[in-house]
Amino acid sequence: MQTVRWVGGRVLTGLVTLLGIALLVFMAVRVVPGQAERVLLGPLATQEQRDALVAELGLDRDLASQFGIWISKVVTGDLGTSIVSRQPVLDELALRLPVTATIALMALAIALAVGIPVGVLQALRARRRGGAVVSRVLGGLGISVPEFVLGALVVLLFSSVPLGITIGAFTPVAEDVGRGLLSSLLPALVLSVFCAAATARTTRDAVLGVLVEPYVQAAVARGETPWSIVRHHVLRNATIPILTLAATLLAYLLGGAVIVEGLFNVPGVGSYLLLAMDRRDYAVVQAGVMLAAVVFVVTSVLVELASSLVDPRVSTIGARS
Amino acid sequence: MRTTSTAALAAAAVAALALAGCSGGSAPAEPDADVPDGYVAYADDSVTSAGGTLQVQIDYDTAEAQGLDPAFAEVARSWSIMGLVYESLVTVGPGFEIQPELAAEWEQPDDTTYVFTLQPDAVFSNGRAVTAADVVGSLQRLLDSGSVWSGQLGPVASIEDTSDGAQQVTVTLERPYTPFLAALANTPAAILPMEELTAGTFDPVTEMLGSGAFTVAEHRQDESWTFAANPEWWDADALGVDELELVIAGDEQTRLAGLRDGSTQLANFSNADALQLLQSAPNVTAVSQTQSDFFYAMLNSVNPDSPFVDPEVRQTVNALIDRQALVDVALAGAAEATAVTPANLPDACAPDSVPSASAEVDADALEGVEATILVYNSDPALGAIAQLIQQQLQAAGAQIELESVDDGTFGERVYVSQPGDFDIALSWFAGYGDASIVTSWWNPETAFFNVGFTQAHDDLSEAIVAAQGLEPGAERAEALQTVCDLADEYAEMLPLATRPQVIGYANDQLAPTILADEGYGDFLRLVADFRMLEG
Repeated sequence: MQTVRWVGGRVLTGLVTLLGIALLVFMAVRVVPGQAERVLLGPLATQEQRDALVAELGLDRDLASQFGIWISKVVTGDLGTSIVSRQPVLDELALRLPVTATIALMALAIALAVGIPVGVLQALRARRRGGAVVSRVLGGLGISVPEFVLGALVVLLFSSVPLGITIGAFTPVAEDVGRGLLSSLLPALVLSVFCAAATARTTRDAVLGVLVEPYVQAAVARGETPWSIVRHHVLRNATIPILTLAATLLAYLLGGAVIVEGLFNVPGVGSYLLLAMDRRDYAVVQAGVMLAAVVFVVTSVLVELASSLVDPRVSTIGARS
Repeated sequence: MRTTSTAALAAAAVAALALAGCSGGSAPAEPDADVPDGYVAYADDSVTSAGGTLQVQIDYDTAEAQGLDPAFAEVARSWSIMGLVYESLVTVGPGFEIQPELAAEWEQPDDTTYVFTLQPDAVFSNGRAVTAADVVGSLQRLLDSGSVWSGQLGPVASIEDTSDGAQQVTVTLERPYTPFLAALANTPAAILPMEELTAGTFDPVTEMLGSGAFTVAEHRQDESWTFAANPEWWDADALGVDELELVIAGDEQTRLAGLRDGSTQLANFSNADALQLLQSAPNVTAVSQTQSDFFYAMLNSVNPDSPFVDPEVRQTVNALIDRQALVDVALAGAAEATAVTPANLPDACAPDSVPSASAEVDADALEGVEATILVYNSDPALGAIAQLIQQQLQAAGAQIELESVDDGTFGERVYVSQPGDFDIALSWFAGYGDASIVTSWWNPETAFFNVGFTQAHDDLSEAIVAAQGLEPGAERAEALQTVCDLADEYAEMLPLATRPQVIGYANDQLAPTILADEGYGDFLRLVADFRMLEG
């Protein structure tokens, strides 16, 4: 019963968070200078043309009415229509989300596959001076090198030496699985560097935290092998921070890594939202931010649920608090 | 969600430029002996096209509030894209010469009357023949639209169907207006299927139905266009391309990479350094097309908070700006300094002929002047120009800040706020195909978008109208010089330098035909003459 209440509380908190984000993004896009009719019609339009577009977009209503209309449509699944493409935003996002999701999941898979073992190794060898320095330098580089620098390097390298991978000729996986995965590889690799470095650092810290626990010391005293200790005691107990980080990274990646999408000409959510913001295409911006928020809230709730399965104390403490 | 900005993308471009060993200046390409005058690339009749799909990457998509309606298209890329489907009565050729397009020929019985005879085989892609009624309806619709382009057509008195055997249209002007034909050559004056439009079976906002070389097969906004060859086109036999794929690739590095790795056959660049960057790419030829488009600076003479309300300060700034330095440093030598009349158009004023070019200015002439230069961040060239102007003005004692904002904010502060909320702002004008068209923008009563920062001057406005009524030649050149001199003295909108356009193509896969000069940003103007090679 306590767990059910805890889950219900988390879901309710998530819904309230989403409503707050909806209100915030709605107001935010309207206080930015440069209203939609001014941006889209450009400097050469007459006042009559501006007034007509304002009326068409419903921007002549008060903000509360506009918000009420928008949110009531959103809950029924109607995210509005793009004023640039004149297509339903839901359809446009449905085209772009799989593209971004492919790259995001590839990047996350690479990051976890590289970051977790590297983090474990770093922790196990933390007392070896040389290894610690090397791992700190590599980790620092991975986290601090901006994606636009790394991406530009990769674009330059692979366009000069193609190796069968072309830049800017992106193929969605839905059209051709093989070519889709191949064209997703480079942007996913660029994105995975930061994520892998962050995962390695989190894993290292989590593992180091577990290694000093008495039950690990007891296992060492019992003569268990290092691999057995890692598998049975360390990884299980270091899972929660890694899971939390993975969820955060996934939400970030699904929100759209704009620079990487721009560099590799990936028709994903990020570049779509950036253009929409530049053009004050309100419906698209609002829908895109809400999408990212939903992903973040849902993954956060799922991670908390997963964490409670790994360690039941999470839900117990959460319910008491 | 992590946020970013165009500035970061620009930084990416800068990083890659640095990686590629860019030195900042580009060596102009040697002219090809086989290319005739007036072209920078030319596929002559000896080149047989293998046909197939032409892959092109361009910088941005159409994004007008009026969708795909050419009458309301305001940006150059919309003109290029819509021009693939629609035709105007005339087009521009080498040296801005007016050439036939949908009109097979025309005559001018007097200086206010134009009689156009349509191509006898012209049909819309739905198979219906183009009629004089379509021409009359389209041009009248443009005039009635209130679109800014209606003013550019000039003082049109009447447009009549005067068919007599052949399909014929007669346009009568209220007074002589020399840029009329050049204004007709722009995409907003495209001929639409008026019968279908009137019947409601064709919506020009959401679809394109024209008489041109291509039809739209698919469009995904900001991603790609697929065009199929129009078998109904009156010159279909000449078309060397079966299908045209336009990929929208906003980042210049992506377009450079597409040419390098062979996945694209043609791409455009506004960064003049692309000319040099592409020189080392195998099987890629890069050419620089001289645009009559030009950058200009707006000095706010209307807002009382602006230091440029004082005409002397404006004139001092005008005299201090070293246009040639902008060309050499900010635009990598791939541009020309210009006066109000675009430098590469016939009868244009020489930029060093205006009063400010020879004005003496004290070394500390701008002591105490504080101002901000406002630019928008989607065009990296503007930032480079702003930096150089900042240095030039600071050398004379001024305190100059730079401010870079997104397009929407720029538009709000410059064109919408009354008075304009800025001191100095930088942007660019299309140069069009006649030296006198763009001069209209120096009259804020015609160009209502600049009323928030410039003032109306009767003598300048009268000089503009007078010059637009004269035939090309010495007398008109003298009249345009008066326009240039007056605009220079008022110093509210300062012309700076032409806007470069670099075009790269895969020379093992494509033989394109590209004009040396262009006034409407349409580097795909002669795509029908392109020849696909068996690469």
